[in-house]
Amino acid sequence: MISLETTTALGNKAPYDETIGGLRITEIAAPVLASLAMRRGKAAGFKRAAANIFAGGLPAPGTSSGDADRRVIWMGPDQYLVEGMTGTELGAAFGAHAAVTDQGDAWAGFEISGADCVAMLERLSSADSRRMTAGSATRTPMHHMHCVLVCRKTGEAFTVYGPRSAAQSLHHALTAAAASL
Amino acid sequence: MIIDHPLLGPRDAQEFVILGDAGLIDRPDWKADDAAEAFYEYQYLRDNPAGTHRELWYHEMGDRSWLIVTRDTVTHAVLKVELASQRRRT
Amino acid sequence: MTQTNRLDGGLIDRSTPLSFTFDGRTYGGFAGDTLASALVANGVRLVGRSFKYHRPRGIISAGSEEPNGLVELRAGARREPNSRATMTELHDGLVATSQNRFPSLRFDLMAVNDRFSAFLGAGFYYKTFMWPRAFWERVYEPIIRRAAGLGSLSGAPDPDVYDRGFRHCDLLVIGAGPAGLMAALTAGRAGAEVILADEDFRPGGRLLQERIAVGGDSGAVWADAVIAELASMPNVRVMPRSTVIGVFDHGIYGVLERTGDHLQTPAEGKPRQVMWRVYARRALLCAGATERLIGFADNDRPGIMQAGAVRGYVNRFAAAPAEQVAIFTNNDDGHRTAGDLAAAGVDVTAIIDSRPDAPASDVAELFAGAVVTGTSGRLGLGGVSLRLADGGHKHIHCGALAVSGGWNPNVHLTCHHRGRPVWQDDIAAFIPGEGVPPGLAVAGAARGIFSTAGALADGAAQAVAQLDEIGIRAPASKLPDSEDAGFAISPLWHVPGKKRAWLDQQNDVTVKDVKLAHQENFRAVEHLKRYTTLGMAGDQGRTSNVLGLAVMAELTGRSIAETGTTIYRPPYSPTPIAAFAGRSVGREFRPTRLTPSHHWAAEQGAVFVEAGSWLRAQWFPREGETTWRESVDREVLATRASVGVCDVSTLGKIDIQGGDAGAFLDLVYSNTFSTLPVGKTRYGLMLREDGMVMDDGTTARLGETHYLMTTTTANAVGVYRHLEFVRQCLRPDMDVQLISATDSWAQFAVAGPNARLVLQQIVDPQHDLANDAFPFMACADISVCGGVPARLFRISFSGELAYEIAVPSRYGDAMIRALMEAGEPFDITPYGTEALGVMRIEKGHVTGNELNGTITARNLGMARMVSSKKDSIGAVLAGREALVAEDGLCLVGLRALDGGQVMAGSHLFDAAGPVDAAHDRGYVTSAAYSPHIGASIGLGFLVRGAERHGEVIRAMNPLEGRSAQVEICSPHFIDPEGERLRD
Repeated sequence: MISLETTTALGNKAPYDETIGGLRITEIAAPVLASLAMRRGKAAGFKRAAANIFAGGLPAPGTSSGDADRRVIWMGPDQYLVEGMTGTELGAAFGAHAAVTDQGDAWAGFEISGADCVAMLERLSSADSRRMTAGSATRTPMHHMHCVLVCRKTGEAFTVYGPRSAAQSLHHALTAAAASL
Repeated sequence: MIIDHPLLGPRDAQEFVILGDAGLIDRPDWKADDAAEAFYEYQYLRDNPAGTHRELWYHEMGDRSWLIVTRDTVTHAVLKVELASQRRRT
Repeated sequence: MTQTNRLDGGLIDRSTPLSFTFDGRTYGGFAGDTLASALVANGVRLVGRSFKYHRPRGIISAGSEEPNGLVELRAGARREPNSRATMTELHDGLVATSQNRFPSLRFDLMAVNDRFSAFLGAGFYYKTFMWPRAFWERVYEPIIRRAAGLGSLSGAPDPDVYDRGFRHCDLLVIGAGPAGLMAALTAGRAGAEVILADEDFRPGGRLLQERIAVGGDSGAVWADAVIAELASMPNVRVMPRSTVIGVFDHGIYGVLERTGDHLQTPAEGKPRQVMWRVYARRALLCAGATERLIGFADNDRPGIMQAGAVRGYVNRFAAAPAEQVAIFTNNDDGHRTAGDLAAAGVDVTAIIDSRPDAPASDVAELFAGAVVTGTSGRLGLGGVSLRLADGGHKHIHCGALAVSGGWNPNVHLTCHHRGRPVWQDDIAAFIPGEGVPPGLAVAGAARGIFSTAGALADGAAQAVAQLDEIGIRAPASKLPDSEDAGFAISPLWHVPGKKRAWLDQQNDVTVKDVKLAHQENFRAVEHLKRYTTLGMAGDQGRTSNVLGLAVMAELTGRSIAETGTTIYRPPYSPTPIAAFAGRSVGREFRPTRLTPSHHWAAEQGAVFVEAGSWLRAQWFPREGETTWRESVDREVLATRASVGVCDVSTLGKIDIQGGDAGAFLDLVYSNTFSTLPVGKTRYGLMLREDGMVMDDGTTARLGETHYLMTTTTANAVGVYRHLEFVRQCLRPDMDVQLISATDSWAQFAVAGPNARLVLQQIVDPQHDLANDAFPFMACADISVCGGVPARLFRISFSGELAYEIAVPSRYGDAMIRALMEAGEPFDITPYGTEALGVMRIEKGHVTGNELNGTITARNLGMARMVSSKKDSIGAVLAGREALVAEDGLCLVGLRALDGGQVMAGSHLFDAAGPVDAAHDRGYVTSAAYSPHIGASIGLGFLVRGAERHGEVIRAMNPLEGRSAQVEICSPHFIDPEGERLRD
């Protein structure tokens, strides 16, 4: 039997990791992500399940909640992106209260850290990254790509998710912005 | 332009796609006797005034909400923004 | 390198000498100079030739309004024409060249135009190049093009990078003069998020150019202290070298930051310029004012400058425009200029003040009530002629003339939403009026408050007022003491005379041209502008507009207020297109999406094609193949004979879940999906509400409440948007959830008689692929290669026995390699989009070529797929009379006869008869060479086509001059019964 190896979104065995000036950009090797959408008419059960799984329950628009292991990001009305759980795990936890879809292969993820984070993000996104605090999250276009921006540490660490198929273009946008500061 | 998203606050109009007259929400009944006439009007006789207009905008680069934006097409002033899914059905 | 005109003092850094060249000659300057100030310091007065008459021209201003001092900067690919010397920060090694002259600046052949000026007045081109019509393109246009323009582009790609960016603030302060600095300080101290943008490399505005004390110190010292305090505040961002170019809706401002223009070359990867999109809750325009000149005969000679610019060169840059300077003024600024010149040790030869009651002067001889009637000198000013108050005449020697005709507030940004400035008589100038963009306020000289104390106080007060509107309370800052002189002016627009008096120096518009416009009835300001080109140059008439319309007002006998002013539009000052493009250039113009097998395909030497934003393998050439057709024919034949594999991950995939998912699909598809059994896939036709086909694809039912829709590659985004429209706007009551899964899955079509045998080696053994167990249109969640999750669909685009197998994208690269390995015994052949296209045409499958927005299900022969038993989008309007007429278009196959070629885009005509629109019977949508048929084939739409199979007609392509005899046939060229699919 032939065995299948995985590649990162950039198409390599090992994730990209580079420091450019005062910024470190790291590719998330294998994102663990799933989308979580509330089934219509199942609000009570949905919220109950969420409260059991995520510290802080469901996040408000523009934010995320949870802890370092499992975070839930607000994506749209009654729709969330969960970090740290597969679709199978999430489906088991929510049962018929939610529609769950694996998204770990839908996104390319990059961690950005360093003192120049905000200066770099200013070149890429109209989101006010200067005022984002740890846990803030927003969907925002970056170089014409539909992205998700999550603040991990105010002013110092962010995660950018973009379409996996456009990983190369997103990577180029991030590194070029970092190099241009 | 800036559209004041009811959930997300002010967002650049560059993140949105506009569809036009919000009348497209009120799709006619396909079984009605005058369905052919009603669908013709629904599809083709839409408003496009110079002045206050209710329009459908889609937050494509954002949360994927369809919004009803009440806007002055002359001054570009945005007067009201609602989630299309939350509108009271008339 | 002696700087002949350099004075003592100034705000230049004499410890940092710089060297630069102008027209090949080397000069010296200092850090803190502009190119203009360094030229002045070196006694260079002649810097360019005028646009139309090629008159010798010199520097007029010390700011962004400069109409004359335009040069080509840098050399080679970095050459940039029409750069304002006054805005060019001097750096070591700077290379500047004059423009619009041949063979040299001092001797310019085209200066002959000046001799013929009588014929070259306003409207010359409109009147002259009228007839004969045959001359328009061949004769006149080349002549006009040769004469047009000032500098020239390098013609080479710009090697520098440009960037874009986004910034947010509570208050954007535009301009860092006294009003702007005081506003930023007040807002910064209140804790507001402030951006202070100034076009100069050194903030301070006129404080740097005047000898006016602020708070007991020089203006420059005070400005430096304020900037230092602002720089220490984390909530304040000071942006020097940044021009606010436009005011857009709802507080969006375009700001061009010149991050690298002052460097010889920007460092690798660093942008030359950044175009910022600033989101400001409030903005304060503190852009100051621009001094205007006065029209008098030959007032364009090098050496004639704005009085304020003369003060700027003397005070800030320690550069004297000449050894002897005369002054011509209609207000007190002329006297201030005389004082500053005298203090710097420059000889002031005369103050010519048009006001009979001019104040006395103790620094120079005063000619009250006198005017300048002419000037002399060949390539620079040598002297001026006066008409004295008593009617007498006098000639005065001078190398420079400082002219003050009063000040125009820089109202430009207030006009970007069609705001109309209003005339204010006491300062003889327009100030902001109705229609100032919401959220923008104006402070200081920009609204006619000309004293330094007044500007400081107004800046602070306006900042407090603006912040108050957004709920930020700012305590009033203590104001520093400064001069609070009144402003007294007696308007003088031009000195009447027979010779030409310039208004717009950049476009060579004179008082005579305005008179001609008046005479020919182009009297409205907008007509005047277009007829004479007054104010249409790069400076948008900043030094000329008011003069021009004042002359027009005089001619029409109306007031200036009645005459009005033209509209200013973005950009405020010339802006390179490169800055708008930012990094969206070349391959990065837009994002590129790569398929999961991209790297593998590249290793195979695949030729790629752009399909929307995707890069897809088009074909896989093999050694020895010399044409693309050889490769494509081989791929098609090999697939049909054994097995082929193609990456189809680009198809849109939408995950649809919920209790009402089936009902939702029944609404968006014309056919029914709620009845589809779990584990089955069905072809679906999606209509627009007008009854035209929007998209098609297969949708699989993965579970009771779970469907997976596929869309065409091109429509993936549009279909998702449409589904969200239906879900949120039409049926918010339904239990339906959507999520895009396009990027999640690496999906491969494995097609051909041996497809099953290949897959059996990949798919884990517990999954039975036998025809009975997994028949045509089956789908299942399975596993491959020992437990890797996968989805298998038995669907076929090629017409062969075929499957599409999907694995999570992270396994995509491994999966294509595994399929190639498993398929080796069967000589598995990777095929690209060309072979895919050939096979789908052979099979008669439609795609975007056929679904062109004008095609109904009936045209496709799929009328039966539009169910009338349920509500579905488009069903009602698809039933319109014209769309169900018997003589409608029908999808047909077309086969070229006699070795001819079917071309997509050809139109179809009967075998005999005229070839014109009236006899057009249809058109060809897709065409390919079919190695299976051994002929060129195509798909197309033909009137009553279904009844005409077997007939021979003509496919005409007049654009390409081609035609072919084609036989009408079924669109299914292979296996019309679909037996191969079901084996």
